[in-house]
Amino acid sequence: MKTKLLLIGILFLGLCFSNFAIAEPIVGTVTIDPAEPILKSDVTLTAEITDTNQVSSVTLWIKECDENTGLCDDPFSIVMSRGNSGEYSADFTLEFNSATFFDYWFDVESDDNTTTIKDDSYTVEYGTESTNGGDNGGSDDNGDNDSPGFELIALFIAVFAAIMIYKKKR
Amino acid sequence: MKIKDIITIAITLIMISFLTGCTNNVSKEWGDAPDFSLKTLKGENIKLSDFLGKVIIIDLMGVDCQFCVYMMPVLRYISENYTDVVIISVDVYQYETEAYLQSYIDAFKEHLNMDLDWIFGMDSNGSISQEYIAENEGVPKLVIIDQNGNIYYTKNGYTPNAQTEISNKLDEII
Repeated sequence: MKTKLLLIGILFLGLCFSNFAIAEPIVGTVTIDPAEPILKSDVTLTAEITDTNQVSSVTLWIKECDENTGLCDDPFSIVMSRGNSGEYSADFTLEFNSATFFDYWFDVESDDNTTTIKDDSYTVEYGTESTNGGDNGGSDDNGDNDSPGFELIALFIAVFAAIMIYKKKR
Repeated sequence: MKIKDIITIAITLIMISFLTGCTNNVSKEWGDAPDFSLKTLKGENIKLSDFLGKVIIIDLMGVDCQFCVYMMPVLRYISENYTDVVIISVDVYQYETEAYLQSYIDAFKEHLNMDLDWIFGMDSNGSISQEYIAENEGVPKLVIIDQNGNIYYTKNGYTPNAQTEISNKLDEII
């Protein structure tokens, strides 16, 4: 079974690389901000994409997956905008509830054809906060709530002690 | 009437009632599993309810989903060992094409000598995933439908014990 899985893994990589090999456009530096996003966070991806042909548009595809459950969400796409210095960027919000990483790839449209550029390294691991439920850990973010309710217990003890001392004195 | 005749009639009646009982296990009405039509990669138009009376596994998948790839040997095992089970793999990734799905099947055959010999088709308008994949669920998702067209079991995601899990569930209903 292990050998089979390994072979399947190699096959999958092969499929990815075969797409990469025939690609004419070249993807240079890719910057992802934040580098280790958390669940549901807003991300900006900027990429240097060049082609011998005129690039007319670049579409970014995002596919979020959860390594723990072995699930992947339906990929979504965004048309990237071209910056002044020729780089392409896109802002997007991560959507999947339980993802641990996302894969991305580009559809580069130049002249009359679209080339898909996939690379096995186009995987972004989520930051540690993503694995413990990014959107429901509200109290941890607020320093004032570190010991909710404990100060009340101290107050009750103090009041109780004061009453006892007062009664004793009378 | 002789006692022998009475006993013969009684035994016959009991046998008929048993047979009736057996046939009653399979309903003539499709159950709660959402029915759908699918154009297979081989060009046939099928309906899920065409398979009433059989156990069906719906495999909701995508070619670009790495965990779906791992599910293929599991389904291959089911296909080999549970020959009466109907397996239907539905590609729910809207941007993928029939040709892309076919190249996936061909790659398994060519590189792994693995025949993915069951039904494959595209969820071209997204209606199947709408019925079977809830919000914030993903793929792979396996749905086992019993002989009466009712959803018996669903498995979200790939886990290393998937083969045993699915086999056990099939053993329960076959």
